[in-house]
Amino acid sequence: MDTTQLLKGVLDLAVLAVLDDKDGYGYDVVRRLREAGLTDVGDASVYGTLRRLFQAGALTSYVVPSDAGPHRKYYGLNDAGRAQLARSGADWRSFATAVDSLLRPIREIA
Amino acid sequence: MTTPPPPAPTATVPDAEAYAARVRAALADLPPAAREDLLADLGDHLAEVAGEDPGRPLADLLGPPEDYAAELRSSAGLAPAGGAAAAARGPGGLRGHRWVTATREFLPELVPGWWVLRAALLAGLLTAVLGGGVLLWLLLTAVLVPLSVTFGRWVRADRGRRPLGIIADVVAVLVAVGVLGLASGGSGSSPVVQEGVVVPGSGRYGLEGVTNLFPYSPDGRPLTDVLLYDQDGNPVELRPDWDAGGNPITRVPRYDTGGRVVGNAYPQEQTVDVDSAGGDGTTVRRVPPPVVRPPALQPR
Repeated sequence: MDTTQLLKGVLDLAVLAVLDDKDGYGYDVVRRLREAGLTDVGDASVYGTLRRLFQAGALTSYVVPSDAGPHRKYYGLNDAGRAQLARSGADWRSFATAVDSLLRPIREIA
Repeated sequence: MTTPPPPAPTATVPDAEAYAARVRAALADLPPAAREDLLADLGDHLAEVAGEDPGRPLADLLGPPEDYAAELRSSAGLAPAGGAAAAARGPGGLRGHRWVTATREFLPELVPGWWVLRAALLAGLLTAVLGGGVLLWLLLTAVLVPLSVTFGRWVRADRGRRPLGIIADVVAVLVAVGVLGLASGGSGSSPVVQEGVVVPGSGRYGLEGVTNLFPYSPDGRPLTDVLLYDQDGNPVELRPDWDAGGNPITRVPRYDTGGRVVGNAYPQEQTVDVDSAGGDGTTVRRVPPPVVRPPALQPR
């Protein structure tokens, strides 16, 4: 199954969830999503999503200087982001449960 | 905003800068504010990515910058490239965009043709309703074409009237589908045997209230695409129109390898149109299979 289409729908939620765990900078968020199993996630998609969520007022951002490499722009959730995470998370759970229950009879046939 | 930090002196930075420049070029059609917001930290971000795997060019890690830009656009919720501005700027590799632009340019020329077509469609519907022939259809078309064109020009004159135009077009398309349905359905009214045994949820065959059938194998597994026939070899076709709550049921048709509809394959895949809470519009819901526990049959 082509997961890129699925990813499109849940990337906001996945990014919010990752940042709820711990603040992170762009590439760090990409890495944590991939480590969590979303191996197909694109760098540009994550970067664009971070910018859009920031623009929408769901994220805070701050720059952390680094002597080893470039300065890093960290993102974290604010209250609006946490509220969005809770809402979307609940939507996702009921959606996933519904799809799961649709899949059950198929599993029995197979 | 804070002043941009000076780029760290790593070997990968020139690569990141070149890559970012090409991404920026691919986004040249965006409004400057949106573009700058999107690209503000891209250089740093790309340098970060490059730093993860020093020595490998970014295009290896991330793909072509143009693809990266397209992904960035869609994830940031911005319009896709392909507007006239992008095509005009086109630094190569934009032949596809030029083609898109050409298509966009000639589409408006087709619109008056659509005005004529929708008049003919409406005339077709009226003719079918009135039970008339080709002559009535031509006559009605002749009357309706000027009305449709006048309406089209009136809508076009003012942006605020666009919704009215869209409604009219949607109605016309629905009418077109209906007219096609009438045409194909009326072309050859077939004998009863080919129609199959129609059990319209009446008391016939004791199937009142039955909207679907769910066959199971002797060991209790649900079966799919079971073809059912009656004692005379007629396909048994349940044609439920309404569920117990009075909501309309739509069957998802199955086809044979020749593309003909097979009406007696069970269980039928169905959706039901449920009135939404506000009573305003409907929700389509897939009809789930019942939860059953069939008995284990003794072997014959």
